[in-house]
Amino acid sequence: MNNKLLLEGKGVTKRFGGLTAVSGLDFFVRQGEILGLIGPNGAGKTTLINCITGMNPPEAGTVFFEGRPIEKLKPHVIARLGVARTFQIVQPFPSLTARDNVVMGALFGSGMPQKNIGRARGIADEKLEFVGLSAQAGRLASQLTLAERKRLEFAKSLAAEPKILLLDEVNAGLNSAEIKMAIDLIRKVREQGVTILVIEHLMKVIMDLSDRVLVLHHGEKIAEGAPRTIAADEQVIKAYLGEKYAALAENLK
Amino acid sequence: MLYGQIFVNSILLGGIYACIAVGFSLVWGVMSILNILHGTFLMLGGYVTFWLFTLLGVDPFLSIPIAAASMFILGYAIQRGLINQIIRAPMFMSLILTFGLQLIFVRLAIFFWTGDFRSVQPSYASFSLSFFGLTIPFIRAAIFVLGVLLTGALFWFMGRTRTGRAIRATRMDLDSSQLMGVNIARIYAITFGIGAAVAGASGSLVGVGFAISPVSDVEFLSKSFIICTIGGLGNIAGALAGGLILGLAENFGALFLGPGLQNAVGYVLLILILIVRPSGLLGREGFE
Amino acid sequence: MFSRWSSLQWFVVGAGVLGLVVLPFFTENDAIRKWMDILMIAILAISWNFIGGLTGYPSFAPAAFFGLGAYTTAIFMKAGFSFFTTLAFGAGLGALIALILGIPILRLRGHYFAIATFGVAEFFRELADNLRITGGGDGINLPQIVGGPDYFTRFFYYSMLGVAILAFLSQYFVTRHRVGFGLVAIRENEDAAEMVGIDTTKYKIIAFVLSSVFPAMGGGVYAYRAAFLEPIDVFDILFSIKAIVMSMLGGVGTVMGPLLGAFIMEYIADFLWSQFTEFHTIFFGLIVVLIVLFIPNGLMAVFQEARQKGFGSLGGIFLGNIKRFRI
Repeated sequence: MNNKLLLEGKGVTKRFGGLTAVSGLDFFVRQGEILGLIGPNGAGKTTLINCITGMNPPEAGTVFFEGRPIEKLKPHVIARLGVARTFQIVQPFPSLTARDNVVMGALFGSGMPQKNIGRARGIADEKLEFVGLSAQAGRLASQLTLAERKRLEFAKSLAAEPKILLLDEVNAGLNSAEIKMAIDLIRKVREQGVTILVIEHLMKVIMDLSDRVLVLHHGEKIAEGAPRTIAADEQVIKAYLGEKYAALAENLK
Repeated sequence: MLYGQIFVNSILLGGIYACIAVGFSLVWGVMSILNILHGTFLMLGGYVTFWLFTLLGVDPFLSIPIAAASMFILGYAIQRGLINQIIRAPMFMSLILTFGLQLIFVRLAIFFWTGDFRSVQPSYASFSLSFFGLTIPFIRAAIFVLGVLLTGALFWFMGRTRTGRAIRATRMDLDSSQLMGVNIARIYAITFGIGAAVAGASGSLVGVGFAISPVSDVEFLSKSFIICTIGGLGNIAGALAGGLILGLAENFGALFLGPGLQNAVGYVLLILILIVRPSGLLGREGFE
Repeated sequence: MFSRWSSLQWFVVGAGVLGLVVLPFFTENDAIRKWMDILMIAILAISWNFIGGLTGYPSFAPAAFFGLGAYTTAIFMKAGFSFFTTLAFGAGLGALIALILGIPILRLRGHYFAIATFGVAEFFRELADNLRITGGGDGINLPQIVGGPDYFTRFFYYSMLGVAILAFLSQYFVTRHRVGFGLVAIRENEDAAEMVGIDTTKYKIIAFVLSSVFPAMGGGVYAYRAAFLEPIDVFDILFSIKAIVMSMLGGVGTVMGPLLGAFIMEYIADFLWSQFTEFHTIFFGLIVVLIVLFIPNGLMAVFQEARQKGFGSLGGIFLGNIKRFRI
């Protein structure tokens, strides 16, 4: 892991009508690291991802990817630059097979966009095997279980050979065995050189996986640093559990 | 003065236009069904009135409830028997289905009643009122008033009766409504039936003021499309607004562009509204 | 999806094309005319498939472009251009208008897009009804072709066949290329498609333009053959409806589907016309209703299911289709 900043945001602000979802946020992700993004519900985590990927462009602020400002670019252009994401509520291509779903990622993604459909199919099979879905390759996406669909979405983003992968609550709805598998996969992906930003609710996962953690609350950054530090941070505890527990934690120190 | 007369004509026309479109808006807004039979219901309602008048001498305004009731039954049956079978399919399926049905009905109508234009001419047909130099034909005024009343009645029904509220609930959340005990199949059939009934009643009115034939349904349908798109789905006010705007656009369009391009104006409005504000001027979720 | 064709499929298609090419040598003018009508409708169905089937944006515009092509040929032939030149003009004009209109209306989703295309088709009809250059409601005459009935029939048959082959080949190549996959992704989940790196605006416009070019050329052939046009003949929304229903019958979004649907449908329609001239629309309407209820995913899908479950279960498959979309 070097110190080069792959993704950086300065003063990112996103409003929805009267509600400010993200407010003047500065953040960065180093190349090769796993950044955990946490915060209570409604903190603005998914909104931030949408800002980065161009789905909901920010009202103010700049997002830099590899030094280039991307906040005004269209989503497909940003995707082609090497930014891949998964959705909190999975978004497959329902009546296509699992393999064809992943082929889409290979065909249009950033790493050497494959114009050759045959080669794209090869990449798809590779990624399906990586996530353990080879047996389901021929089944329709709509027939897969939730856990399988999450892995499918993961495979689809990997097929695009991204430089950074934004994972939005990949573990929602999974049991502990499935979660463990997901953590393993994420680690393996990082080993292949992909930078990862993980949004997660489960503390244990974030603590295990992340090199660094960023905490959002009401659209603002309230803490940033190593996982251990964050876990003990009073502001963070207050945000998640309320004043009483924060005071309790303080007393217990 | 000319502008004044055209303005008055537009208002009168707008009222009847609103009433033509409101049934279509209901079915589209609540059930996401593009009902190609809508024009047919109008046409059939008009024929009910025509035949009752011609064969039995029933005053056209009195036959309106009969037209409405008969169309309600027809609409209910069609929804319950046929459209309910494909309700979860993509939207254009219902469009194609009702299109196929329309082909059947129109051909049968031509067979039974020939393609001649019919209109009802009650004895008071030639009365007209005069206000400040403006001429208002009695029939047109009566149609306008009744049209607005009909629209208002639908508004009352949707807002104040249990069935009306159940219908609105299914639009807002189908699954929750089902959990609350709403019989979706019945509600949908009733909704479609109401749409058909309102269309039938409007068709009656149109039969008195204008001439109809088995192929009038296409024009009714096109206008309903335009009115609902301009005014917006989901509420009665939208149908009124759309109806008025179309009435004005057509009449003034005829004045400036000639009578031939009158209909073209409507389509241009349709496309423009879709580009600028697809949900229509007063479009809203649910149906108020 | 869009897997390589087996040798059997190639053989069938090849035999079919060959059959169509040599058809006039083996049949009478009446039969040739009938096949020409079938090809014309097939062109509309295949074209609709680009925007409606593959991309999932159901369009009523085929009638608009068909009429546009017809009138383009009429107007320019009267001005002295050769027939094939006017076909090229028609295609070009169709593409241009599809591009210009497409940019605003392809931003609309679902039924709004469909209605916009309906509005366009009707607007074109009203224009044709009222402009002097199109002859208005009185219609427009075209220069008559010189030659006896045999030449006449074969000339138009081969012209239409040419357009049909172009349309079919275009569809084949699109589905073998990244573009085809991109269109299907848009249909399946437009947001996800954008996120995966597909320029959805560009692709939708490509699909819409492709869906305009071939109906325009088909319209041109129709016009020259008919030698007289009235707006209501060529801007008939029924063309669009037929294109949609045939694609549905064969299988929306498949390569062979629209073709299959067009052939079957047109054959049946022709049969109905000859048997029940008076009431053939009633039977046509009935067939449409039955197709929507029992074969909504197309015959190709039914065949596939029957292959899996055995052909004895055909009845069950049809009934199963009706249960799928119920309340």
